[in-house]
Amino acid sequence: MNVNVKRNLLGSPSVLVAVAAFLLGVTGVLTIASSRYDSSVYPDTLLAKQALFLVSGMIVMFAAAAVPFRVYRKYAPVLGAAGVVLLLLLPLLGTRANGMRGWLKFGAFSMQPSELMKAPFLLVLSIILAKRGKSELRGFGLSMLWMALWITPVLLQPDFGTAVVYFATFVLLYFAVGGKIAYLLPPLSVGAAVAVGFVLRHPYAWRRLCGFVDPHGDPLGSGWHSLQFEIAIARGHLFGVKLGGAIWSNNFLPLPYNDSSYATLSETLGFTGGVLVCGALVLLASSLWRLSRRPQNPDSRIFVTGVMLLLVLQGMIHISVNLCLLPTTGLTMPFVSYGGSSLIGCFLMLGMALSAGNEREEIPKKDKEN
Amino acid sequence: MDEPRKKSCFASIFRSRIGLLALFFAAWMLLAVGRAWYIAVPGRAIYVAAGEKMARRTVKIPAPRGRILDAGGRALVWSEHFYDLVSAVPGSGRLDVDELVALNKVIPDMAFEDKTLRRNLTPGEVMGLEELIRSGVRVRIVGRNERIAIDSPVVKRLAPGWEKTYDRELAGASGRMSVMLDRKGNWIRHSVKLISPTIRGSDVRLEQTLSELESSGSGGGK
Repeated sequence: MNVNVKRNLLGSPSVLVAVAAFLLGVTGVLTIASSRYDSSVYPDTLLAKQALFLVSGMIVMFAAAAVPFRVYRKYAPVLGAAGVVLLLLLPLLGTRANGMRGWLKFGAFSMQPSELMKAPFLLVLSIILAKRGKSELRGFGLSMLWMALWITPVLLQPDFGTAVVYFATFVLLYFAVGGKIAYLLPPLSVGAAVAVGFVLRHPYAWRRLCGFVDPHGDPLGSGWHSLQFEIAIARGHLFGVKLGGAIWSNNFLPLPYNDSSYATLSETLGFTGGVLVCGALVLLASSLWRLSRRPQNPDSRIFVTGVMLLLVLQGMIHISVNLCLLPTTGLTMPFVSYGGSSLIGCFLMLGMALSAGNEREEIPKKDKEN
Repeated sequence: MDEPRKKSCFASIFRSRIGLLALFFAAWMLLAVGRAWYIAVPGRAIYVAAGEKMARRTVKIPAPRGRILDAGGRALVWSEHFYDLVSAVPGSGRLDVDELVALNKVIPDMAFEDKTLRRNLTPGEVMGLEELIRSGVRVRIVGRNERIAIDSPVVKRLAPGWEKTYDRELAGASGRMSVMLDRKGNWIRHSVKLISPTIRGSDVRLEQTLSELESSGSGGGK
């Protein structure tokens, strides 16, 4: 391989996307490994599972990237319908964990549809947004309907954090693809009203909001989570605590490897580890941005952009919650947090984004013959 | 509008709006990194101190009491440390069925004397229970020092008197340590810091041998 080819390959957005995702995934595995607290079997089981999820996720990503995007486009209605059905099954058959009915259990295997089915949501949304050219209002209405159909069962779980990610991704994506800003005002008002209604209906959400505004007002109650995040990050200092010393993450943080994974990572790997994760997220976003400029088909471009926006939004919300810049909400950090559905769902999205980004405009047969 | 113009218009709006979003995210990221830096470096001392104040407790470490020996150096009275399992449920102390089932796997023969579920746990049982406690079962392991005397009626009768007479020598000096407690009040492993060490109580040697004591039936003195 000559030097130029090597340089091109290393600079290729597809390769950089895979590298950034792998880097984030490895950081997640490293966090679990280095925060091993005592001799109990618990973290070792998590470590083995997360490593397995990471490898499976990479395989899923490469397999999804190998499938031409036109196949996804063709089967988008089927994939979208499957996602909606799985989400609608949750109120009936879902298993309750961590205060929400978000998992479907099949024997020893369980999955979280709202995490796993993000790719079909974006796929259908991209196609609707790409085809809205003829009637902006109709296209906007359809995309709104699709978004509402998707986030209603998510809100009913209730998983407010994931619903916010879906909603915000829709708003930003519609804005990015040149949608009329005036159209966004009604859904933003409705979104704000739903958020207020949700907070008033669920006392825990109100308490979290109070805890965010004044964590010292009720340090053992509503302010508990915010204070624990800060203490865990502070304990990590620049390079993290020594191996097995992540006392705070293991004893005080809620779901240390899921919703608090950034704070756990900061305690075990320090500020440096946190910056490494932010850097990997920036690399991932910039590579996806470059990738989104390649395809000629609007739906492919919109899909890659949607994947970028969703991943960056989710990552930034997770980091901001852990840094107490936003009120506490249960949200995983893409590729870093523990969990098969989250990890494989993210890698599936990336695989499909790679497929979309590498799609060339198909030349009609007649033109080819000429 | 013809197709190529439409596409170039889409591309231009797309680029400019993505640029705006990139600026927004860059500002957000800078804010996040700045906040992380503040917590981890300049503000670190305040947060760590707040954490220590919240979770760290100072605990007295009782000094091991010295032994009482006879004139021949044979131990007549000594201390042994035991661990008991007690319910941590306030009030009745009654545990849930799930908790009892989980406990039963580690300790099949539990007693229910007041709040004590089992006395004198073995090291294996302590290790098994630690995991259960971490998983949320509301029980606690409590240490207890017990004074043991050899199986002799005279020694058993005289031991309380010797304990009182030689208390100053036998007692030693208790130490102090600090330990962090988790939200459930359990000790956090690897968080123990020794403040002052314990000084073990001295052994006391009596002037009579055991057989002399048994024949005279009276106390010895040093």
